[in-house]
Amino acid sequence: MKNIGMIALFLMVIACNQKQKGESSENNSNQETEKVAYNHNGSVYDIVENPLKEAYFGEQHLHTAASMDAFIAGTRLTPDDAYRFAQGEEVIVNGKPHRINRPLDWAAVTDHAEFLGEAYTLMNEGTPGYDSEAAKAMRNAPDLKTALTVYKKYVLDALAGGDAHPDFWQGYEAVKSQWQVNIEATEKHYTPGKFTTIHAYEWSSAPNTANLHRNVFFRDTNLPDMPFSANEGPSPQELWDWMKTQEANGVKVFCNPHNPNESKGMLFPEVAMNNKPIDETYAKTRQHFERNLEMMQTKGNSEVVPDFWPNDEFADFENAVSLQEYYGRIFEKHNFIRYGLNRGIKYYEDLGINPFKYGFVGGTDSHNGAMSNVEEFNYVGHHGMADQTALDRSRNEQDGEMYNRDMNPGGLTGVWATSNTREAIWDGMHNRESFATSGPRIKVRFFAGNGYKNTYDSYEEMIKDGYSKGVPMGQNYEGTEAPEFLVWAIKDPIAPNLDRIQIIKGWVENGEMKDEVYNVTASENRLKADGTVTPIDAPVNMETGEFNKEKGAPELMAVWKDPDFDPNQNAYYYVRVIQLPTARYSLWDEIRNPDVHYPEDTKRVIQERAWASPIWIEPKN
Amino acid sequence: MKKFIKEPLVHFLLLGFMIFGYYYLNKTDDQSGNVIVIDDAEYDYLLGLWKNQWKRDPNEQEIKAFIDQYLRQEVFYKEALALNLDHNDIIVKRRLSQKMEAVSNDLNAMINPPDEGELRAFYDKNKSLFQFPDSYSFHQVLFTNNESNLQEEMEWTMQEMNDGQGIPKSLQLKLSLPNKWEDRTEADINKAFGGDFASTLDTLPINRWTGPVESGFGQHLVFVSKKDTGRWADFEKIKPYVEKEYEYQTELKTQEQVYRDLLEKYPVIITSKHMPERIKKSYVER
Repeated sequence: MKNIGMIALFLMVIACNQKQKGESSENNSNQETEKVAYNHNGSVYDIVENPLKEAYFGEQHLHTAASMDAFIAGTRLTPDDAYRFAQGEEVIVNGKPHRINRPLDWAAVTDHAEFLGEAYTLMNEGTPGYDSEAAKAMRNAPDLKTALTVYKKYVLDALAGGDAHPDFWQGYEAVKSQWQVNIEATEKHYTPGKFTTIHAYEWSSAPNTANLHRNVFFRDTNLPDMPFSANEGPSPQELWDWMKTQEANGVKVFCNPHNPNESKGMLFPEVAMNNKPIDETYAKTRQHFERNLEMMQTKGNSEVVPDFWPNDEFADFENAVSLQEYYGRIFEKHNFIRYGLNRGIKYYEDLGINPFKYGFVGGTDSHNGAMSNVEEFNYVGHHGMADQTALDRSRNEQDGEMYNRDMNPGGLTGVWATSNTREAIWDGMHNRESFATSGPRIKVRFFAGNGYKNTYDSYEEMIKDGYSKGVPMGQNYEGTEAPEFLVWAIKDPIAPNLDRIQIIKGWVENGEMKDEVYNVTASENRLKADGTVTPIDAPVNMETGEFNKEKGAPELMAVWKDPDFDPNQNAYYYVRVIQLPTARYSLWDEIRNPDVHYPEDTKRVIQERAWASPIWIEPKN
Repeated sequence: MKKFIKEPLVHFLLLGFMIFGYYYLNKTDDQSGNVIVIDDAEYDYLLGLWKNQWKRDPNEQEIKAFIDQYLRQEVFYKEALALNLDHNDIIVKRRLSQKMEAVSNDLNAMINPPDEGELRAFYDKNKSLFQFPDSYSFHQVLFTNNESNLQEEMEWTMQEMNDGQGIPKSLQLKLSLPNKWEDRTEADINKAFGGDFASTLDTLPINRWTGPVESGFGQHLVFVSKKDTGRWADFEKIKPYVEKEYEYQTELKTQEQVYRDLLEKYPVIITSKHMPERIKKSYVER
């Protein structure tokens, strides 16, 4: 089996070579794509460039066997395997062959930097430490219970005793060796124009179990010889210091934090980890290096929760509420993204710079090496032996973190880019022209400008107007008049139609942070004059899992003006696109396994969605 | 005789005997079994392991450390053997069976180096492994299901376009879907359109507007200009890959055969009353 992918790849290369060059672009006036030559590592690739940009879907948060926690839980897939999975090849996930439902356009492996050295020892026979008692125990744990005992004995207890590493750690040379293995896999699978890979890793700091993790992304092959881990510096400021040194060496790098819902208030703080108040330098540095927040992943959606946003009718979605039963990670308003965006603009008011100026991405955080395995009907768990079967998912807990049934398959990132190349995808994320989805391949565009038309004859005309008369998602609106917001979305071709598009506004009024959800368009003319939407009845078939195919709209578009716009007010606007209901994996598990029953309070039906990155208003005074 | 030579189990046993013989001959100075000898070969091996990891030469302290580690392991190992601790240990069992299986993998290369004829026969027999993905060049226009006069609009537009009119402006890049698709694989098309759109293309006539064809977005009129289906890569061009695939497939076969043959050697008697009958039977009847 393992060779088949290689052959497919080889055949594709031949097919490309056989293609005649210089075909004319007859009947092509409406699609201004052009073929250009692209160089990487001494090879030239024919790639397609689209000035209107295309949405490329990919994974920006994934662990393989090179993350020691994943290894102990039973994962043996390497970064190389993970990239093969992302491109549609079958791999063995927890002993069973598995395949992604639809291959990805791009991907990044983000193994934990903290234990890379141990992972190298564990996986390479003959290296010193390979035969140590701890390493053997980690390799041979036959079931979840043993694995957890091993993890506690050799990792957690070592950490508690002040040791950053289990006893078989061989030092930084081993870390470098594994980092090199990851680099090589990332290089090997880069096929410009077809499949992009991005060099990356995860910095996993969790002081007092507050999750401050960040994924770090590099633009090219100018890379550090070793990643900076939380062992070298547990505060974000130390990470930025390291990134600064990297920048001085010409390395282009940014990072994306994830799981604000597990951050115990420390991701959007009032004081830095050194207990000093957030000042201008802090804010500037943070905005410079931190570009996107992970809106959603297997351990929950971090946008909002009903507890603090009771008027948001779509807030109750994959909130991972059982997180609160462990480590004292109680939900508080300041652990959620909408609060963070609000706090950011308030800091702007005080400091003249916004430390939390984030766009949105989505990821899985799968520890199975299964890139963006996000489709509900294709979910096989994300944590090795802990959630590999329907039965495990329905009744087990994810050790010390949450219930498995509260997890979800994770989110996806869409990036608007001119081509499927490493630079274009990285730049797209860096410019925050990215959006998150809860899994479906919904595409969403968002512009703020002046002079937009209410309808357009063509998509091309609309997008050209979008850019020429305004700014795309991720930027500041700089006009002097009230902005018009142009928003557009299309459905995922294998999913149901769309329900509606909303714009969420946050602002600061007399020092107070406020936010509001506006319905800006809904399918079948359901948007009423008072701004509410008539509910739609598009039920999921609970026997078969099928969604409704008649209701809703495949495409929605609107130009919206904020009725309360104030040019002197600090504000942000972001977009939420709501899809019609579909079956959650819990329903698929029950349909396929008559013996499996999730507890009553588990959701069986969800409304998936997409979130477009914000556009900000930053008054100049 | 040829048949005999091709029998994997024979080779397997022969190889096993050779491995045993090698160790037997090399351990002559170690008759009592409790002497630990570090000769140049052993030392160089340990040194090599160390250097492999650290990419430099060890200093004296480090040499001492890895020798210590080695001796520590050896004495405990030997003592464990003397006490028969290796027997019925699940990890030892797993490791040894893995080693034996690895031997059978190596066997494959020894007894089955394919000649040109065999390779070609393999290629002919397993053509589906070397098939190009089906691909198409086509134009499409889209109508969504909620449009008024959908049927009439489609028929009228199809006629216009078949009479030589270009794609109407309102149908250009509709829902951002490009009208023109060139040499795209079925998988690519499926990803972009959903529904049965991609699998329907093969049934459509060439060089005229036809339809409607359903996708995840709505109804399409389609003009297929080129179909590349059922094409195989030329044997000569992909010979190295045929060879790799041949090796892999025969490796799987050899492994299975060695397992089957060994199973013959060790009679299996199942006395368990707890094992489900059907499973029990499958071993008795093999």
